[in-house]
Formats: sequence, structure tokens, C-alpha cells
Amino acid sequence: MRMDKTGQVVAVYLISHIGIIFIFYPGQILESAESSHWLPITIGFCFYLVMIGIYLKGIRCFGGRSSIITILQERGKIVALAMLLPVAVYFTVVAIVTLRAYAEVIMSLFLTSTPIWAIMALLLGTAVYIAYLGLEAIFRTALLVVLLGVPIILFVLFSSFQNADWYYVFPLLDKGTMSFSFLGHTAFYKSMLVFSGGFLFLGFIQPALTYKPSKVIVACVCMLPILLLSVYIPVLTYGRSTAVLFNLPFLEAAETVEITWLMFDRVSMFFMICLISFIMLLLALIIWMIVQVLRMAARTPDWVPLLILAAIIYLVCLFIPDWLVLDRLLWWNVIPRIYSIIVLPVALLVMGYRYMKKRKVEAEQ
Amino acid sequence: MRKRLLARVSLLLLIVAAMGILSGCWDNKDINHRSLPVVMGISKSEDLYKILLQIPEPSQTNNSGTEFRFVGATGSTINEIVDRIGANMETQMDLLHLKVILIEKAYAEEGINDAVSAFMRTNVISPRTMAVICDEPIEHFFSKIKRYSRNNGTILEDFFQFDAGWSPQVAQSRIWELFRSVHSFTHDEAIPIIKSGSGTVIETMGSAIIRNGKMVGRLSANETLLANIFNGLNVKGKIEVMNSATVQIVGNRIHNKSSMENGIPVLKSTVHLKVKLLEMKGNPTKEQIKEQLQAILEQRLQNVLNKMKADQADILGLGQLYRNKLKRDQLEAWRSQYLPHLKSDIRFKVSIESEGELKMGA
Amino acid sequence: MKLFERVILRLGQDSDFIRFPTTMAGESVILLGYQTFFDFAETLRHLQAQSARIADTEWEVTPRLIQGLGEFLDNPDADMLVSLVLRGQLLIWFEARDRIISFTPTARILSRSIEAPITESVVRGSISAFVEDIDTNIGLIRKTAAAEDLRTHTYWTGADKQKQIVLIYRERCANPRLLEGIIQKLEENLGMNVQNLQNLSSMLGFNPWTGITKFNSTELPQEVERALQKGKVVLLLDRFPFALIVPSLLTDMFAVENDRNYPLVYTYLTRFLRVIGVLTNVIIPGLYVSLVSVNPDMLRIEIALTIARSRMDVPYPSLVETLLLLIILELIIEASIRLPKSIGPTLTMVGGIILGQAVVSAKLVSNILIIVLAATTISSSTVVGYHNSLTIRVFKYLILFLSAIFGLYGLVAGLVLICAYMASVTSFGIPYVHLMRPNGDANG
Repeated sequence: MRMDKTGQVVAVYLISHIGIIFIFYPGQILESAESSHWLPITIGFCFYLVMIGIYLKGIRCFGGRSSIITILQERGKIVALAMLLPVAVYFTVVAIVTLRAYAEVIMSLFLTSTPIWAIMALLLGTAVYIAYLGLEAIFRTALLVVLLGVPIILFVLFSSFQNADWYYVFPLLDKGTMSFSFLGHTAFYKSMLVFSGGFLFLGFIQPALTYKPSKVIVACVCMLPILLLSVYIPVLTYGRSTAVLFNLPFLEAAETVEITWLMFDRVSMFFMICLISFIMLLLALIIWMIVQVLRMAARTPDWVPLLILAAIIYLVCLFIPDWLVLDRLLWWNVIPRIYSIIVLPVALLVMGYRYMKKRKVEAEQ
Repeated sequence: MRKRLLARVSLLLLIVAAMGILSGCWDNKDINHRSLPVVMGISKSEDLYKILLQIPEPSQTNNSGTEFRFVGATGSTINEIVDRIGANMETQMDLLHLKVILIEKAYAEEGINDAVSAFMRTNVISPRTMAVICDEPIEHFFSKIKRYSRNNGTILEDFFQFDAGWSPQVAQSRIWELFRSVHSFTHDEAIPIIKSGSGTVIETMGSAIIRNGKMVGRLSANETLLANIFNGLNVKGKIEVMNSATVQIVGNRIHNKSSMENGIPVLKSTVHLKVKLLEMKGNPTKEQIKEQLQAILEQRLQNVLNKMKADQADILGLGQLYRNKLKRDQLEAWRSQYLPHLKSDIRFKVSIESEGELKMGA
Repeated sequence: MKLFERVILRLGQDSDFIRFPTTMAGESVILLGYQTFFDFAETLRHLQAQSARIADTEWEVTPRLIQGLGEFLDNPDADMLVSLVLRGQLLIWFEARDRIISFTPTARILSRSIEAPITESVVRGSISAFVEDIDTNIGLIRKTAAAEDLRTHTYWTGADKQKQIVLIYRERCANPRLLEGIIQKLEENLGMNVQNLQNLSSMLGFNPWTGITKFNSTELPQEVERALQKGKVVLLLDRFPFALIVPSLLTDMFAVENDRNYPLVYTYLTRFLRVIGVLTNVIIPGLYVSLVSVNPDMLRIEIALTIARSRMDVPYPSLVETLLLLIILELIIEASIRLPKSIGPTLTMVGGIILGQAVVSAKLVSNILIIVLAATTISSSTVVGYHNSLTIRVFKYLILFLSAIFGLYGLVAGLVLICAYMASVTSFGIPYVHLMRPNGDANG
């Protein structure tokens, strides 16, 4: 029974990006350019769009109905392992960084007296449980969470304009930024983190969940306003020179919102709550993907690699002393990351073309 | 089957036990074991901060309202003092509900930058907290408001709330706006100045011009009103006194046109005011009232502008209008290089919407 | 005949078992059966009338007329005869010819007549509800659904095949995978005793520990009609006045067919209200605990002070406070189900008003909590179906405990966990979180 699950796929797609964007993205973009932030945002986004296009096209060359694991395994187990293990490494580091960073954020916003191991245990525990339930459960959960969370997110996004001073948009065409100086800034490349976790899953989920690639691309274009909002709301509220001082510019901007008719005081908390639920799902998805790659190496029941992986992630997170180490970890991860978001899609596309050609030749004979 | 059941039950017991241990592991204190100060007073003398906190004490025994407690201490940093007060109290200190920070005038003149960035950094104080300057020693002020606050727990806060007791002559400034003004090139803040009154609890004394966290000048209450109008605040219900009449502003709209001429900023603004006639002395015509009102307002705004130029503090945020006309490095020098030379031509256009229930001549 | 003796031997000691020798059409016969199942006098009169009609017929010449009496049993065995008797048939043994006829007697009415539903009240719509008699129920469904492709299958289950289960579906609409799965499971496990829904659920191979009921039960034929149209399958159990709809879906918590008897706006508003009710019920106790003990900074200062004042002399943490009162409320709900309808309101009054008032003035709990928990309890009843309200009543404790430890963060984690759990539940390949559209196509 094959059904089109585009709705669920789009939901997961949005979740996996929104959860990261509002935390990581604005800070890096603000740092990378002094003004005219729309330019680095658009450049990064276009690059991303191209990559996702290549990736989807590559999968499509193989008929578009199977996961890249089976595609690569048809070319031999060694090839598949060689191609996907770096991705697994990359995902593992992303999971570690995300878990640790979000635990830190949660601690500073909600639970100042709770030890971080407990926060991480709950975050990881929830994610592992969801991953254990399997792919389809992840996607259905995502749909439910989106239904519950999106109204809140929209409400906070709209109310964040309360303190906007539109003159802070200017200068729109700054000479420094227009000369693409941000390309030389590490922060710009760090900002690409938000793009990289999210789209690879599109290759893992078929044939259990089929989707229309065109709709995914549409959803992908919807990301641009979200990216712009995440950067421009803090800029409009504080001005760039102030906003760049914050670790989490968007949340600080949301903190300034006052809504007198609400019985709660801090609107930003509701936003954070939704982000956390999104992050739980993202972690679950990432962990599930790593497990899929690991299971290629050794045929075991799902829960064995899952538990080992969870234990590794948790222990590594416990031994990370501060943000500095986290930052360095991110930096070391650049090579697997470049591999995952550039080399893999391109390689897939090349293989896909050759496969198609071979098919054509076979068909002619 | 039996074995599995046993395993499940023991797992359940384990979880329950773990919960019991975990929830006692770190201190989640219930709300009635926390102190929620609403007002903080800060003064500084010879590198020593003095901090006073007004803490509402819920009491169920008498229904006469909220009791207050005033505690204070001195020390070298703000956080240290708060910690010390918290340690001496029988409850946990929770500053996130702080609504108003009262700053003694002398300290404001010295500069409050450090305090503001400390507040923004620690995240223990909401950025939405109001900053207010107190024109008398803080102890004195607190002892005065102690008498009144018995009936109304959030009296100071209400004074500044839009939906409560705020009046248009009072400036609005929150900690986050102060923090922004410290780092912004083109935007400064005005903080309200108050002192304890004789009949009312609080008497407003106009507002202070803050530049880079330092108080550099003062605006009168009437000038603050104009600044609020110019900043686009909706100042309905304000009464303006003139020689011939009193009017109430019911609507305001500003049209700004900014340009650069030979490196000098030029501003042409038109402020459209809709007013309602409340009271007249003698028998002036509508036209007379209009002209007088326009003249007075233009004169006052000119005063404000002159003060801004003299203090090099852009409380009206005029520099914002030039963000698209100046380059980034030029914007950095806005306060010192451009603002003092600003050529301004600001016109008020008043239209009298209604004469009230009586006809003009009556 | 030995066979007949054996039946008598097995059932003869029952006091309501009759063994009645008489003559029919000149032949001596023995009637066997339980007189509690049928109206004996009426049956006898009927039989006499029949026998008068066939008095002159020859068995060999016109067997049809005799066959009109009932079913001829060729080569019966004792087990079969016993089970026929147990199902309420009357056996007629023509001694001379050694033939047995299974005769359907005039049944004694052992069920209620059709009444208004007891557990689901209908304000505007058809109010006839199912009764214990399975044939009546099938009739009701046939009458309501009025579809040509309505199919029924009867399964006799249990060790001695005495319990009747009827499977009903619509040939054109039913989800084929679901139907196949259910039929396969039923046929596999025919030997299992089905006395209650737990038995039935293990018969269908569901996990007995599932937190979500897999059957949506209803008393109303129109609900069944809609479910059939949506491609679901309905099971009827003999002596069970509910139709069991498989699968039960998340939307069944919020939607009843009766909603559609109002203008569309109200249909959606009512359903939205139920969604809010469920969310309130699940979230609010946890929210209270997390706001009071972990994240009070979320509250406005006025509310914070009010809560602090009302909690002034309460001796224990908010989790204990909430649990204490929640358990009392659960006890009240349980007690009001146990009690006869005439005493129920008294209990509610004692529990609700007197206990609530006393517990506050004794400073055992804060009065804000009373409001919170009253809202919780009320909202737990807005959900459709008591079986669903049980589910959400349990879920709220998970959120409560997580909130007590982690505050709002725990609350969110709890919600996500619940969502994930619900998303993971499937029955016969149909996920719990799923929309089944009337025309049969599906959209997850």
C-alpha cells in the first residue's frame, strides 16, 4: 500500500530546519556581515537550493522510489559503506552538538538549577524513543507536533514585530557587504549548519514514505522568508550593532515583546518550547538515519545500534566542558559536512546519469 | 508471562522511585517559597552599590491586600548584593518579575552602562523592566511609597504601564531600549524622572536625556510629551494648556522628509495633530487657537532639538531617518558630526476635530 | 438411539432441560431443548398445527413438507446436537424413523427492547441504540446503512463454539488489508474464549498493554453506518450492546456522526472545542505544577502573587498537592460510575462542593488548584467515548510528573512523547493518527 505522504515529509522538512534556524542562524549571519544581511542569506540559500535540487535529481535518476541506502548497496556493500559512513560521522557530530547546545540553551532559559545531565537525558531519551518507534512514527509525530506548534510559532513571529523600528533595515546596499566580504568570514560558513542537517533525510525515507519532489522544493522556497525573519526581527528590534552582541539574537528580540492581555509574561518561552519539540524530532530523525547506515554494516535488530549510539552521544556530551569545545567540534566537522552536502549529492547525480545512460543502452538493445 | 509482568512492575517501581529522587535532587522551589521583588532601587557612592528591593509579601491572614517588605544591602557588584540579600532571606530570590528599576540621579549622571549590560547578560532580569531615575535619595523615596503601597501592590509599575496609569508626559524606557541606545549610533533614550509626591504617590519631573548610559540633560514634562508625539507614541487624552484654551490631542501623525545637503542633514517634518477643544479663556476664534497652539508646539520642539544638539544625544531617533543616506562609518559619527548641524524645519498642523458639546461662541 | 441418550445424559441434569414425548402426524416424537430459551406452550401449539398439516403426507412421497418443519440433520454427532440445543434450538426426534429435526422455536424475548442510548446521549439525531440481542443489532445496522454491499460473517468462537461474533463490512468501501487481517486473525483464533474486549483484543492480536483502545465502541447504528462507509470494519458480540469499530482512530476522540446534524460551522466548532478539551485536560495540571514550582517567571506578577498567596500555608510541594486532589477526583469519577443514578448527584455534591471547600479552608491545597483541577475534570468529559477519556486521563499523569521535574521543558517533552506514542500505534497497518475519508481514500 503505497501512499503519498508529501504532507508529512514537508512537515518534517520544516521542523528540522526551523528548530535550528532560530537558534543558530541569526547570530552567525549578523556576525558575517555588517549590514544588508539579505545578501548573505540569499547567497547561502541559493547554494542550498542548488544542492537540494541536485540531491533530489540524483535520487530521481534511480527511479525516485528507493532509499539511497538500497541504491548504493546495489553497487556493492563496500561502496555503500564508504559513501555513507562519513555521513554517519557527520550526523553523529551534529547530534552531539545539537543535543549539547540545546541543553545549554534550555538550562539558561528555563531551568537554571537543574543539572545539565538531566536535561540532556530527557532530550536524548525522547529522541531515542521516537527513533525506536520507527520512520513512519517519526513522520506522523512530526505532523502532530506541527499542528500543535505552528500556531504558537506564527503568533510569536507576528508579535515580534511589536518593537520593530523599520529604519534599521537600512542601509540595504552596503558597500562592504556588496563586495561579498562575508564570503571570507568563517561565521558565514558556520551559518550553513542550519541547511545541512535537514535535507539529507529526503534520500533515506523512500520507499516507506513517498513524496512529490516538486512540493518539497516549494516548501524549500518557503524557508527563505523564515531565514529572513530570523535575522531581520532582531535587526529591526535592536539594530545590528546591538544584536550582534547576543548569543541568541532572535530570542532576545522575542523577549522584548509585551502582550498585556496574555496571562503569561514571556512570549519568547512559548517560542522556545516549540523549538525544543522540533529539535526532539530532528534528533530522532538524525539518530534514525545513523542507525540505518550502521545497520548496513551489521545486521542486528534496530535497538542494538540505537542504544550504543545513544550511549556514545550522551557520554560525549557529558564530557564537553564548554561552548569553546563545541565550536571546535563544529569546525572539525567541516570536512564530513562538505562531503555530505556537496560531494554526496553530486556523486549521486553523476552515478544517476550513468545509470540512466546504461538503462537507455540496454533498452535500445 | 509471569516473569515479564514482574519485570514490568519492577521497572515501573524503579521509575517512580527515580522520580521521587530526581525531583528532590535539585531545588525546584514552589512559588510561595520565592520572593518576587517588583522594584529595585540602585544608588552608588564611592564605588559601592546600594540596592533596595521592594518585595510583596503575600499574606492570607488579612485580606487587606499585599504587605511589602523592603530590604537592602551594599556591596561592590549588583549581582553580589542580590545574592547576599537572597541568602539572608528565608525564601529564594527571583528577580525575573522585577518591573521597575529606580536609579538614583547621581548614579545616572555617573553612567549606568555596567548595570545595564549586567542585567542583559545575566538573564535574571527581564529586558522589559522599566528604568526610572529618582530625583531624591532612594531610601527617602522608598520610605514614602511604603505608606501608599499597602493598598496597591504594583503601584510603581502601574504608573508606567500603557494600560494602567501611564500619562503621555512620561517617557518610556526599558532596559533593552537602554542597552540598544548604548550600542546604537543613531538612537538615544529618555528616561522618566520621578520623586515622591505629597498628594499623589509619585510626582513626575520630566525626563532625563541619556547618552551612552550617562544622564546628560533633562527635559521638562511638556517637552517629554512632544518627544513622545514625535516618536509616534499614541498620546491620546493629553491636555495641553495655552493662554487662551485647553485642548486634548486625539490623534497624531508625522511625516518626515530627510535629506543631505552638502554634508549637512536637513529634516523637513510635518506633524499633523487632531485636537478636541476642552476649555477656553475669553472668546478666541478657532484660527487663533490653532495658530497659538502651533507656535507653542514648534517653539517647544525647537527647545528639545536644541537640547539634543547641545548634549549630542539623539533621543528622537532622528539619525534613524538618515540610515539610508549615510554610510556606515558616517553613521558612527552621527551624534558628534551631523546631529549638531542638523537643519530642521518642523511644522505642526493642527486641526480642531470637535468643539465639544458646546458651539464655538458659547 | 444411543446418540440421543448421550445428549440427554450430558444435559439432562439441568432443571430447565425438557424431554417431552408427544405425537406428531401420527408418529411418536421426543422434543428436546431448554425451555428457558423459548416459549414452550406457544411452540407446542405451533408444532401441533404443523403436524396437523402434514398428518396425511407420506415421508417418502413428500419429504418437502416435513422439511418445512426445520432442518433435517444427517449423521449428527453428540457435540453438534448439544451445541444446537445450547443455541436455543428445539430438537425433534422421530423415534420410529430415527430422524432428527432441528426446529427453531418461538423464542422467549431475553433482551431489552430498543431504547435510547445510555452512554452516548444524542441531542439531535436518531436515538435508537443497540441492545444485547445480536440479531436485533444486525437488523438495526442493515436498516440504517441500507447498503447492498453490506456483508456479514458469523464466527462461533470459544472452546465449545458457543459465542457468536459477527463481522460486518461494506464490500466496496472496506479497507482490504484491514479486512483480510481481521478475518485471518479471527479464523486463526476461533478456539479462544471471548468473554470481554480484552479477550477479543488478544484474539485480534493486539498488544494487551496498549494505552490506546483499539476498538471504538458505540451504541448508535448511525455511527456504525459512517464507520462502514469510511472503510472500517465492525464487530458485533452477542450479548454486548455495543458495536466495536476497528480501527479506532485519533479523530474518533473528537468527532461523532451526530455532529453532522447541525450546521457545518457548529460541527467544526464543536470538534474544535473537544480538541481544546483534550489539550486542556492533558496539559493543565502539568502546566500548573511547572508554573508554580519550576518556572514562575512565566506568570504575570499579579497572578504569581495571587497563587503565592493561595499557597501560603500549604505544607507540601505542588506535585503532591496536585496528585492528592487528582486522585480524589478520579475516585469521585469512579464512584459515580459505580453508584446508582439516584445517589450519584449526592456524591458529586459531597465530593465537589463540601470536600473542595473544606480542603481549601483547611489549607491542604490552594484554591487556584481547585479551579485548575475542576477544569481538568470537566474537560476530560468532553472527549467522545468513555474509553478515550480513560486514555487522556492517564496521559496527563505522564505530563504531570515530567513537569514537576523539568517544568515547561518537561511538559513539552511529555507532549512530544504522547504524540509519538499515538503516532506509533497502528492496527492492521492503519495508523492511529490517520484520517479515513468516506470514499475510502486515505490521507495521513
